[in-house]
Amino acid sequence: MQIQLGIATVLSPILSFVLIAAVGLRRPTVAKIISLTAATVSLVCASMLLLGVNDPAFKIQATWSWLMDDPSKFTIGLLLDPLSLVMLFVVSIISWLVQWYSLSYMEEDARQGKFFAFISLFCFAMMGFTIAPNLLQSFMCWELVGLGSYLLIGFWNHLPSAATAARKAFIVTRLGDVGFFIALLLAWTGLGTLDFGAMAGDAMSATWKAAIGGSDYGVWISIALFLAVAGKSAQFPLYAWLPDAMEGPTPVSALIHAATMVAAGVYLLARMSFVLVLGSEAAIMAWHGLAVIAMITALMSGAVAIVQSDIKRVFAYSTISQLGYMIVGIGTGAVAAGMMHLFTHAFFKALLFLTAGAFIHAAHSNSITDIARAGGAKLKLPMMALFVGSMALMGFFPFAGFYSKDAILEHLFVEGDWILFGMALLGVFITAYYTSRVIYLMLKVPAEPHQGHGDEHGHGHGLHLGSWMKLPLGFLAFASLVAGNVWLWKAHNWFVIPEAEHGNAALITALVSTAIAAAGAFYSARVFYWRTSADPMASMTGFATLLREKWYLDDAYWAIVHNFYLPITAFLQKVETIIVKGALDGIGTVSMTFARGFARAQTGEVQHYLGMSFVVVAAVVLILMSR
Amino acid sequence: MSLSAYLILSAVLFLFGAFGMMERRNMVGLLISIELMLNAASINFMAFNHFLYPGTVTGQIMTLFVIGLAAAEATLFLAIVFAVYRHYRSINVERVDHLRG
Amino acid sequence: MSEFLFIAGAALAIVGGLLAVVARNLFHASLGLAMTLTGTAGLFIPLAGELIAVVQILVYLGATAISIIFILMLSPPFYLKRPNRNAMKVVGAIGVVLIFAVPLMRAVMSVSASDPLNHVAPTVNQIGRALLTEFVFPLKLFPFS
Repeated sequence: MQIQLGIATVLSPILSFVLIAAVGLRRPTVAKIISLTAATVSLVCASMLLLGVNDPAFKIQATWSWLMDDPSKFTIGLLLDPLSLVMLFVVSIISWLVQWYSLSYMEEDARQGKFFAFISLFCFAMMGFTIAPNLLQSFMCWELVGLGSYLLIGFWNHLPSAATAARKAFIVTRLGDVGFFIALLLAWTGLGTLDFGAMAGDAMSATWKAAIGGSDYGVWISIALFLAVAGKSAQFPLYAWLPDAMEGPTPVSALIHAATMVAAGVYLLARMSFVLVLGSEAAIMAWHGLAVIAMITALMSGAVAIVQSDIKRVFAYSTISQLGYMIVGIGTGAVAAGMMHLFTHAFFKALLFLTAGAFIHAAHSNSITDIARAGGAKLKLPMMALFVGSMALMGFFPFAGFYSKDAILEHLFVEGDWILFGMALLGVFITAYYTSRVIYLMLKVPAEPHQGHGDEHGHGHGLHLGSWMKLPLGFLAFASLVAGNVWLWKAHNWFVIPEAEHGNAALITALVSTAIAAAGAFYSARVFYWRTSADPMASMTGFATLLREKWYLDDAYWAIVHNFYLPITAFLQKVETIIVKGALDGIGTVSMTFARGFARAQTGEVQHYLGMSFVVVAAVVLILMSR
Repeated sequence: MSLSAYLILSAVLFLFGAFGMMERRNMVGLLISIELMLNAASINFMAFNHFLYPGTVTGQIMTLFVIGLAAAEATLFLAIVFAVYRHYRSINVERVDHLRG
Repeated sequence: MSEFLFIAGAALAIVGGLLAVVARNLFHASLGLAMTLTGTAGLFIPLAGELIAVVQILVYLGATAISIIFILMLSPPFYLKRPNRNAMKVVGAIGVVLIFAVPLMRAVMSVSASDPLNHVAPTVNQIGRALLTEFVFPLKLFPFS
């Protein structure tokens, strides 16, 4: 029964994609009905699956052989365990809400059919990745996710910026996918299997333990996978594609940031965390190194978010930062905490993006100040949603982010990892600072000398909220409030708790982090609301410029491309021109020369032909006679 | 007379015909050369029939066919010459060189 | 008798053939062809082909050679100055002919047979019978050529 439900969950989006491609591309209503129906089927099935399971050791795996008759070689199938069930639920509910929301957001677009088809494909890819029982199927669906993000980010491909952003996302994540491929080959050659269960060793047998830990395959597979995760989940140094991905439609941004694209990397880490559990000292070192990189990424991107004026970009950099937290959690061994943060973050980040989309849809601008000027603060529901989402993002009690972020902090505290703990607290401060900044800027409408007050008032009434946007915003606001408790009620005991709780560690970290978040929000209020402190980023010198230029990361990319890649391609182009093209031209020239020479024999005069045939006949006869 | 005498005679006639085929410019000259070569073939048929298979008639009948063929061919040639003449305003074979490479 | 007929016919045929290919006047060449045909007809008599000789005279000389002379009307008038012989062409033609003569003569020399003793000419009856029995298919096919 569970297997059928799982199949129905995964296959309904791809069925929807095929159906829309067949009949719905020019009929928006049909496309919407098909897409929403499929998403509903997925959501219902995934919910039934999730609610029907209570046993932490629950595990069902069904595989079918593929490519070869030997079923032990390459298989496709589905693996249902707590991890994949939670992820499946997150993906299906976020994609359902996003599609519902898109009914309003995309109502003026001429190519809605295509949009819903792409969304369906994207969801199928992510669900297929989620339930993959082996690395090969993971890899295929991973690439499909990349394709889906490419199609959706570049959906408005008549805009050069969107096309460039889609290309950038595709190419940068592809760099990481090289790592995935290497990991795949290492696992195949070193362990002889790609199946997660077999790799982890169902019985935790000594041979598997030796295979993973002893020969250090775990380390190399981990390092190769980290590259893939850095690409997909936007970690340093491959995160630059994510802010540019804001060129896509806002529902797509919500989907990418909450559930599908960037979550894939974190999910993959959680899937492979048996390496951390079983692995050698070196493997644990490698994962800890990944956690450090993720923490640095979180701080860097959070700092960049401070100076962004585009509302979607603030949230984009915030996503990179929060992904960093998740990876810190998983990398230091707190898989449950990392997945919990993924779970709660999915809801409040989707909420924030959909809210941003509502503002953008109403005000036709991405700039925070423009939205504020247009009277964005008068939109009641989005402002409420923005407030709830921001509170959750900052990590205030009792919102969802509080539970999950504190789980990670508490783990660092208990482990005694003071450096990471300190950096994480700094990250909490930065998060609170840039998140509350958005709210203050929305509330504190800047003076507008050209417009009278009444005119502005009229503007505010002119803004309207799409009719299909209310349900997703309301539901997600509610979910942002309760997701942490839902997790604690339903999923907490599903995951291995690596450490026993240490007395009052939970209380200490909760108090400290709340105090620091409040300090960040308060300082931000002094700067942006009461304007009693000067904006530390207002100056155009030093650190502020560094942030404004996004740590010069894009320039570094460009320098690498310009100084290394382009010379290589220029050289290869010369090789192509001189050797390959020269060889082909040579073949052509030689045959043309021969052809011209032989063509001269064709004089067109019948007597020459006759003479030649006489000579040939004579020669043949002579040869035959001499034998 | 021996068979070789006839064969040599027919070979000489054939070579005359071959020479004419390659040297003549006028298409009628070509036709005359062809008739010479056919004639040489006729002599061969008759001679072989007489010397090697006396009492049979196969070679003689082949010669009859050659004669008939020559008559038909001359008529056909006439038609071709007319067509060429109308197209090129000449029956010089050196002018008919549309196949030049 | 047969030697005389052979020598006369051969001489007539060779002289006629030479005339047919080297005469610059095409009318003379046609007459040379007629000479060759007549000589060949004479050659057929010692080869026990009296009927064939008659047919050669009637059909070849009477029809084919006359139609050739008819075609001659399409050639340029004889009083016009004809272009000179192309020396290269003559040399080339002679070269090809000599090359071709090598295997031809070798083949001719490799055959030898003496005059059969029982010289019996086939009758017209025999030839007609063969035509309508053994060779009826080629005969019926012939008109289509």
